[in-house]
Amino acid sequence: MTNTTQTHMYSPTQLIDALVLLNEGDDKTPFAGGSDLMVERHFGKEIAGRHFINLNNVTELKTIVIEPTGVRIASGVTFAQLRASEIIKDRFPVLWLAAGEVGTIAIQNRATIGGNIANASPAGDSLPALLVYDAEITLQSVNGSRNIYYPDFHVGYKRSARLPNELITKIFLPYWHGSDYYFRKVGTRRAQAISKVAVSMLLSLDKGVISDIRLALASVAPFPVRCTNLERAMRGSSLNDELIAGCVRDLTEDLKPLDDIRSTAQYRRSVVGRLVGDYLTSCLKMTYSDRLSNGNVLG
Amino acid sequence: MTHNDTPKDSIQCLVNGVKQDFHLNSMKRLLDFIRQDCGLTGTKEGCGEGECGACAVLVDGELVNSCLVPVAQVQGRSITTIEGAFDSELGQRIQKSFLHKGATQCGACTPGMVMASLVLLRANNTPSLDEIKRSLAGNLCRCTGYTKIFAGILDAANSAEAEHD
Repeated sequence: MTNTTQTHMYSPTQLIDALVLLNEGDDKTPFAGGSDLMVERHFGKEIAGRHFINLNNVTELKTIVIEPTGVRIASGVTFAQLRASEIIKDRFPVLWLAAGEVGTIAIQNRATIGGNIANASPAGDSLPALLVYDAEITLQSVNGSRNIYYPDFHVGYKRSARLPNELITKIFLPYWHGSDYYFRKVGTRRAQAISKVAVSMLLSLDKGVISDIRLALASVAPFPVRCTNLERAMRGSSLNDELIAGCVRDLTEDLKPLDDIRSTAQYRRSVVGRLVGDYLTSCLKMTYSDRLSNGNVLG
Repeated sequence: MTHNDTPKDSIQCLVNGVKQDFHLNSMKRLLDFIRQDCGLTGTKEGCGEGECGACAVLVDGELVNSCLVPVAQVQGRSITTIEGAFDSELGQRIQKSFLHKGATQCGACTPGMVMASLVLLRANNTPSLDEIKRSLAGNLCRCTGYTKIFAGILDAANSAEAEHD
């Protein structure tokens, strides 16, 4: 039985009104799709007298705007909207794939990208995609607005740079100009799965040399992480078996995943290593055969 | 604190085409509003945590788990429940096919399954088995093993084709 006494949902239609409400005190929680918060309520995590600020009537939080250098997604955009967006599918395929792995269709119709960020689960489905696309998060309050580079946003388990009176309002994704990408969510079933491991990668190869590589992982740390050590080690190098093996070994040694109800540290390390290694190896083979067809292979 | 202290808002919406007007706590679940205030008990609570799909309804034509929606967020919206599903030709076709194919045992999952099928067949009237599985992935059944539910959906899709031939 859900406790509804003493709780009120405010429904502002203007962003500024939502920000004023949020500034009034920590008894008011922003509520978008509610697919996380309603589950918390169901399990009795409610604090008596906790109120909610309904963000779904604020139209400025519902837009996907195409800009010259990238796309600006408002925080209240649902995963269903992302799935229906041609520009997201075309230019940000890793995010598009991740959106389709969230919960179920019924959840995607409600859950928002802003909520996924704010909830800050280490397993957040869209978060590794935002990491590899170098997302920029806009935070707004009654005091003004600021932008944070998303890889710097999470600072600990469910702790972020967001101040209590701030709302996540926009997510800016700069266009990425490479072509290769990889997304894989490892879970126990086809839907409604919280990931044991999730991998998002972007790769750009120029005549066998790695001109850009970005790797982000979910469910292996207190928050989703960019693997900057691997990226640094690989960027500018020729892609080959030795490089892949060495970097995957270093990556899996650096990881410090946990044993939890969903999986073990050993499994997570092992699966991350295999998925990353297999993907990079498949890119190597493709590059090789491209070169082969061009007659550029010597020996 | 007594129940008289519960803050209440005016909630107005359409349910199966009928205008509803109630004074309710804004955080009351849409599921409870449908079952208690509207008296429509076709929509079931299977888990209360958005995992099973038994409580699925349409809000402005979109499939949602009503256990996760506070009534404040359906203000001015149009809700369709399983009872309203049979107002449409497609809903009746799904019902016929489900019966014909034995897609129901205890019936607890059936309303949610029908709502999800409605959405699928509206968007795609010739789904493959794989597409059916993907679209129904949010609806759990403990009885049937799903086979006859999927057969029911295929039958509903095919019977439309048959009618138009």
